[in-house]
Amino acid sequence: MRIAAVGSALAPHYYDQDALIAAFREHWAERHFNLERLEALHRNVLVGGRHLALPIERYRGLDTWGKSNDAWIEVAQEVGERAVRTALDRAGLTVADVDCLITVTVTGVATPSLDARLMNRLGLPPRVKRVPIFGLGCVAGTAGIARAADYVRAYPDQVAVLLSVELCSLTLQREDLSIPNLIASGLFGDGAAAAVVVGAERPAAGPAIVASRSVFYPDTERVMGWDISEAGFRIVLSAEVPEVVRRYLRRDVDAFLADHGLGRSDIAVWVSHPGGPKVLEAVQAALELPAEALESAWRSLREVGNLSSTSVLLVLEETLAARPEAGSAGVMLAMGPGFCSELVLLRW
Amino acid sequence: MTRGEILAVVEQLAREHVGLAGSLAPGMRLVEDMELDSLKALTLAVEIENRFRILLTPEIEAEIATVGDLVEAVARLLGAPDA
Repeated sequence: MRIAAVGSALAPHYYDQDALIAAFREHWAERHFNLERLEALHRNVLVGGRHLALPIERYRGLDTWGKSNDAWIEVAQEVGERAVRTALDRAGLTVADVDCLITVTVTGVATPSLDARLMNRLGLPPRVKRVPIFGLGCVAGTAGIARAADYVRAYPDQVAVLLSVELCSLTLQREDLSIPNLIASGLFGDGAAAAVVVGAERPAAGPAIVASRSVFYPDTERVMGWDISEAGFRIVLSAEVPEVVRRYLRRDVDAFLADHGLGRSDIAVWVSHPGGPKVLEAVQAALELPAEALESAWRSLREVGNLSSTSVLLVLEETLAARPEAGSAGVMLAMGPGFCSELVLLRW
Repeated sequence: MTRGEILAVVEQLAREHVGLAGSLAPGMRLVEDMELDSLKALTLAVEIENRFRILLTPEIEAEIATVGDLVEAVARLLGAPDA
């Protein structure tokens, strides 16, 4: 089984961080005194700009969860369709080849689910098995690849498409001027990415998926997540995220690799969810990686911010385009609410 | 505003915004005793700035290790007479 291709579709409205900060400052001033501190907070995440689902002036009108979620349903279909079409084109496949569509998101809800709406929009065959996954958060890009691999392991002549859509800007709580929400409003952006995963009996270029590993960390429910309120998704973000990375990641990566006769020094390609600067620094330190090992993740963070589950697929897309040497081993990794990590071993 | 009054306000802000359960004493250390992680410390600093309408610059914050240091920094910025 292989990852035949990845395609992405960033949300249509790009703003650099200066423009976003200028828009936020007026709002911050309604409650906060030291605006320079908040501006510094937005600059310290090292994000140059974000793609947003809507033009910035439309966000003021999103005064209920219903309105935000309606916007999510509309834009998620647009970027989702573009990402899937791009990925299928790159894989040399069409919608008629798809057997399973897995969608992951943590930023909007819909029933019929996003995948059902895309069945109509993309003209996917009625036989397609749909697997909507909500709630895995940032880990879902890597977990989704692992679950797609599980599917084609069972059906080696079939094609699974993983689609991640995250429109984080539509979750921002205007009235929540807490520090975690202020950090989120400086860090997260919007977009979609799709990966085409094919079974062993389907010829394809792209890296082989050798194995995957899930690791759940008990009693870490408040490290990251949502609290649901009448206004929608209110972010839970603790300072423990980098600490959890430092505490567990090396142990889990080493154990995973050892089970396949490998060590960290055998891994030529690291495909990491970017998280934020502190998380990436913690990943780099925990795995004792040289600075350049995570350059794709740093670049993705700088250019478009953190797109939750979509981000690791953007990093994977760039990695595939760089065409790692045949035989290279790679690890795809992400962590997310639970708290937990997902690891995928790749071989080019 | 006296240092005692400032301490009472800081204690109230800590209860409301960073989950302080007990009382504050000047000798308590922010990290070790109050268990403020980076996000909680930032939250408390922002709330203190909002309430007192003062700016806690990085230079001032670098000198703050205990609750007493924090109260003294606020008192100085408010122009309170020396203790």
